[in-house]
Amino acid sequence: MVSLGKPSTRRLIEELKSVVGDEYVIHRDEDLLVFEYDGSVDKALPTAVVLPADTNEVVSVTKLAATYSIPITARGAGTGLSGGAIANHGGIVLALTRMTRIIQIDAENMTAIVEPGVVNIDLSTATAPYGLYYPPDPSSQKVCTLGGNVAENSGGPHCLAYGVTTNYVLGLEVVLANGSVQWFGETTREVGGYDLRGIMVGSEGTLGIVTKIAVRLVKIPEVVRTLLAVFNNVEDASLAVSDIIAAGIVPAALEMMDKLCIRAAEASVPAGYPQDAGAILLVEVDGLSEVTDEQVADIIHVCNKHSPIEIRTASDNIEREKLWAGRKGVIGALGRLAPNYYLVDGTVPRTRIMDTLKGVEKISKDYELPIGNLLHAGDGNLHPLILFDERKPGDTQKALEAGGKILELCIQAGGVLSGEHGIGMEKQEYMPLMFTDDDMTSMAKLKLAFETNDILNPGKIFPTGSSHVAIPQTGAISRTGPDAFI
Amino acid sequence: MIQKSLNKDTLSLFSGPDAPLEDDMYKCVHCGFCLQVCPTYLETGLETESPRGRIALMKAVNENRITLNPGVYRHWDLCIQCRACEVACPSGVPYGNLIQATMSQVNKYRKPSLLSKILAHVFLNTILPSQRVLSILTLSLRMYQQSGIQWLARKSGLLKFVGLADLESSSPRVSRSSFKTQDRMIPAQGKPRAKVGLVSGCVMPLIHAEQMNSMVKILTHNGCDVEITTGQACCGAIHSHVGELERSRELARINIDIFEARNLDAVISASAGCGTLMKEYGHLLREDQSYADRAERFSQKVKDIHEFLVDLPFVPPTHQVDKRVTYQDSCHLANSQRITDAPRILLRAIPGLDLVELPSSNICCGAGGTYSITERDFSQRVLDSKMESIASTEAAIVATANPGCIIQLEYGTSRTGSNTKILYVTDLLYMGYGFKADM
Amino acid sequence: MEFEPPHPSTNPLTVVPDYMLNRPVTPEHTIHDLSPSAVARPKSIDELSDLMSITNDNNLAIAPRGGGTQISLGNPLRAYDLAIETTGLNKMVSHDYADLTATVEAGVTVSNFQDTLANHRQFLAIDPPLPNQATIGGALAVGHSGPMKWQYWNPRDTVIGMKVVQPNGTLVKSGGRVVKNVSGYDMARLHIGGLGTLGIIVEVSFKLTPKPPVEATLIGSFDTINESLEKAMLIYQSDVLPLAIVTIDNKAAEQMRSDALHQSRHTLIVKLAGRERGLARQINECRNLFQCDSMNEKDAASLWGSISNFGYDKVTLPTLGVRISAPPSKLALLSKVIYDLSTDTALTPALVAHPAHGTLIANWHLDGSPIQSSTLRAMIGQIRNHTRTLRGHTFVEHYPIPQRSDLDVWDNYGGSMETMRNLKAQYDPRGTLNPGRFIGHI
Ligand SMILES: Cc1cc2nc3c(=O)[nH]c(=O)nc-3n(C[C@H](O)[C@H](O)[C@H](O)COP(=O)(O)OP(=O)(O)OC[C@H]3O[C@@H](n4cnc5c(N)ncnc54)[C@H](O)[C@@H]3O)c2cc1C
Repeated sequence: MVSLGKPSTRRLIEELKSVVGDEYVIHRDEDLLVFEYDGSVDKALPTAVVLPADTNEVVSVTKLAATYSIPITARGAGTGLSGGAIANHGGIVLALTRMTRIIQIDAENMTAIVEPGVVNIDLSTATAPYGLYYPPDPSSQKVCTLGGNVAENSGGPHCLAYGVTTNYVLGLEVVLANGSVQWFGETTREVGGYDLRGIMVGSEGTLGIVTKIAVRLVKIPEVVRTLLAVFNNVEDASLAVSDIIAAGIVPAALEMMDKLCIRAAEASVPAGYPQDAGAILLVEVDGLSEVTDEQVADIIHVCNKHSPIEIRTASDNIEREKLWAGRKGVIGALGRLAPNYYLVDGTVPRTRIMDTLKGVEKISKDYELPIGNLLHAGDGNLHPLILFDERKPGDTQKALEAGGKILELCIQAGGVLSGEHGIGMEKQEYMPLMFTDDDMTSMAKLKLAFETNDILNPGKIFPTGSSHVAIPQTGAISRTGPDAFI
Repeated sequence: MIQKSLNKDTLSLFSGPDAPLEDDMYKCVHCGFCLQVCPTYLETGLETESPRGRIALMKAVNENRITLNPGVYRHWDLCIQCRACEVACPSGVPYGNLIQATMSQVNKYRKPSLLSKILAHVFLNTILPSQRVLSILTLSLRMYQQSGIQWLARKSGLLKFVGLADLESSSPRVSRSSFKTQDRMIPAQGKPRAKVGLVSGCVMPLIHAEQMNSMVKILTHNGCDVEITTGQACCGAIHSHVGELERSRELARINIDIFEARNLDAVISASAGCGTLMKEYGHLLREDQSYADRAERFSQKVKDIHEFLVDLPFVPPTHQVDKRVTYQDSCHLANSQRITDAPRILLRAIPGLDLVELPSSNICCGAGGTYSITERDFSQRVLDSKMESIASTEAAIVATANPGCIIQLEYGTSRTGSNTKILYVTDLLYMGYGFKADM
Repeated sequence: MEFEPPHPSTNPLTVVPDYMLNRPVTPEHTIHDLSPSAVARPKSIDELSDLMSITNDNNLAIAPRGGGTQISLGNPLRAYDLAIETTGLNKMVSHDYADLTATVEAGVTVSNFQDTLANHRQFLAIDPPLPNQATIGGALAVGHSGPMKWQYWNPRDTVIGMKVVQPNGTLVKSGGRVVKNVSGYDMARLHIGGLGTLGIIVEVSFKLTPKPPVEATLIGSFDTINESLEKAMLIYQSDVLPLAIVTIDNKAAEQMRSDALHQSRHTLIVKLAGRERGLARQINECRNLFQCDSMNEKDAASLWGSISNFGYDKVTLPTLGVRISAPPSKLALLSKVIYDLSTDTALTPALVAHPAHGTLIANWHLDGSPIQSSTLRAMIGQIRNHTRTLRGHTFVEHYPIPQRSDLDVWDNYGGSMETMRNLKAQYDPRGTLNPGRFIGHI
């Protein structure tokens, strides 16, 4: 935790104000409070929040941070689920929510250049008149920013066939910790030299501040067909998922929800999910009408082998949107069942979904916490949602531990810690489950190639050593402080 | 890594029966889904001016981490209470209840009260130049006259500065025709299909009398016996809005008494704001033993006029209205009552009418009851954004469903020099029935 | 920071155990005009690891090689003590066909890998030149996309996990075997297109694609390259989702010596795939957009082979060649620029374009023509200027060896050179791995 002392803080605030204007520096204690959280469970107060209007202002703020040797944590909409935007070492939160210009739409070449504060869905809305859209669609797409998406390499239901953020980013304008502005890539498919744009994507704001993003766009498909398959239990549904993949069908989206999630979603946005179902699959295919017809038939054929209770196809756009509304709102909807949830993001090979879910069920019993399962099943990306009440003493700790157990389970199944939400400060202590010290040292070198003063979003990704769950620590990792990995 | 320490032993700064409910607050899991529908967040990009931020502040007060000081309630004051966040919220946070309860707590600390601040603004700062302010002033005065809130004026001691007669004559927008609020029954045309009461409210008969008369005509044309009743009080919405919940309850009881006696099939509200609160009388009076059940029953009967007509179902209009029209959702209708289809169904039924969707029609216009006076600058920022999107539709007419929205949007057209007309949905339906050629 | 690491030239024969130096030095190990003193072909990842810790400790300059198909890419090596062949790392680790993923050692050839995948009607969506020889590791280290477009654009998009031996010999991994993963930095990106300058790729996990039931290749020819590029753009922007779109100019057609190509005309070739009905629909849509014939499977396969190999097989290997990446709509203009500049220097280019990727490949055979190196440099400079104004860039893929050191074969990319130097300094502080070979001669 960096503390500047009162006089320096006051001076810093004045200097920040002279960069972005009084209105866009937030520093009163009460106001800072609303920047202590993102969509995850962790919290920490920044020293000041700054909202720059353009790249130049970002550069000036970055230079000030360097002068005062205080951290900068970039922030988009604060919907992140791993604490990425939380200033856990204090310092400046750089909120990019004012940089919302769509700078260019090149319909002919199917690319766009935007500022990082543009909300994901706003880009697709703006490109729709050209028959184009931006495929990565996190469930939070109505609010999360493209800058946040780039930093987390966000995915979404439709990433199964279409790929995640990194598959769409062509170039990035980046402000580095020393205040220099560099373009990594541009609007072309290939770039020479090291793939810096690829490295930036998913780097969780630890390597640079993204100030412009060039992405490629895709044609809006001719037809979209959505199918709801209802099963007695998650086992049947999981088997249907692996069979669909094994049959060589790659739907645009293949989502699964268990009973608890179905209940919550229905209470929130009645989408017509049957209440007594054990699990549902939401499958979507798109493309030419001829192709989708056949795919729908094939998927129904596969599902029928696993004793579905019911299979429904959305007959129009309204029905389709309704089915999706339930899915996209389900995480938030769990707020109806408990005041808090801890969302685990482990990913396993698609053939191991069923075993893993069984393990999750056992953990739920062991810890006496309800766990709802929501899955980007086609990707093997699990989202067990552990429900708890932070006001009950010990509940939070229990939830976090249960989460850790689930992650161990995922790793044992040949999976990974995070499919799309990032490591942040939430899963940093679990990194050793997946990576050796050598692996992490290699990652740390990447950070060092970008900056050596640890100004940008410090204390994230790498384990701190002060873990909230007991994890074996080995010694070869260099640390500059009690809670910094590099 | 959870830093919050909840100390159950220390007294929360929220207290009393109207304190915001802890369970409601903690329904918020700070997912941020509310951000992009919040007009104040959209204008500023500031988390402090977002529903999620406002709830975080409520939690912080509740947890004794901060005190209830002006720096904190400034952010709550800036909330227009459009409740669009409630619609966006997947967790079902009853934001409207939370903010109203919170404002009632703030009022305990704030001197002078917000209502007198409103009046102070009206009288001392923003008086004569603007038609709109006059209309709103008229509203306040009408409330003063009709709704039994003289206590307020006496408290603030401000009313004596202005003569009522003066105001009425100097406000051109105030309808020249009048709407008679005496007890009477206007019979249905043809065989009666329903017996309804009409909420005459406090503003509408005064500033939109002509439109109210049209509504009565529409209802009778659709086979309704329409009862008009004297002695109705203001619905209490404005009071709730600023956290004067006790006053709201007094008014609610008056209204329940009056309408209950009539044995009506439905109580029709033409103002979305009034309709919303009246539908919530049940909640408002839940602790009042002698009224709780009656209030609940009453609330069941309250119907928004659009909702009522569509359910009836309405007699199809037959006259051409060759206009390009767009529809601005009234927050109270769309967000609080969740009625978005009915007004559109009515508009689409009018022959020749070309209904174009307004981008972000679910975002507030900045009226927010008295918000346009208490938070004048902000209200104008929100309004300017709204006028921009209205211009993008190239519609000749904006239809909406609430007097506050009409006043605000008219002010918007005058600010931008636009000649777009602002009408009630029912005005267009009236034309569609051939009762009038143009507005 | 200027990057010029110390480099005392040690004879590898003295520090590396004999058993590791298990291959003779042959002419094929020569890169540009440098030959190594020894060649090693480790049989396992551990052996490679051990070898590299020795080379690192002794500051030996090493150049890894896979099949050697694109070994001449890049700037001249500053030093070259030891060639390390990765072809001994040739285990097919796993094919999790039910999961549409596979893991393979880097020395496996692309063809062998594809053959294994084909057993379960799957394939890896990359198509580098000379797949019989090219290794998985080599193809990724170069990182160029071939004609195939599929869902994504680049080889990098198919990689889900990677193991790399770093210059100091430590083995590190990133990613995993699942198709979606954001655990830690996406380290594989450093090595894809990194031309073996930060580490040696030893094992890769991929996401795979089911083989479409049926395929078709449509071919049509035009009087001008412009027409063929215009039609290509129409297809690119249509509802059709081709697997590949390629235009070949008359000169390239002549070099490819394929019976399927009209040697005096400019050809547009489109590969489509899918199920019967969908394919029929796509064929129809294409026919509406350009006049074309369907090719039979055998001819098509051979033509696609020639296209992938263009510039790398014996017949088409040029003396000078550039690979331009630009917005697709600018390729017609850029082709004109290249024709005009070539005319000025009395040269004839052969052009192949992958319009949907915005890639334009221009090759020249100088065989014996008396061209001054300053003229070549000037021409490259002009091409680069033109491409840059159109927001593209030019990579020099082939260049006459004696003049190599005259230029950086990589273009200038958005002022990021400093960061690239920092990366090299972090991962290869002693500069042992392909010294001088990469962008900015790092
Ligand atoms: C209900 C719900 C559903 C979700 N569903 C999905 C889903 O389906 N798929 C998915 O992938 N995610 C999902 N998320 C997670 C989250 O929405 C994504 O991670 C999103 O990309 C975060 O964007 P943001 O703008 O909110 O970023 P923030 O949370 O504000 O920041 C996230 C990270 O990005 C960094 N950052 C932000 N802007 C910049 C910038 N300009 N330059 C550098 N770094 C920057 C921050 O420092 C931080 O590390 C969901 C979240 C919620 C609450």
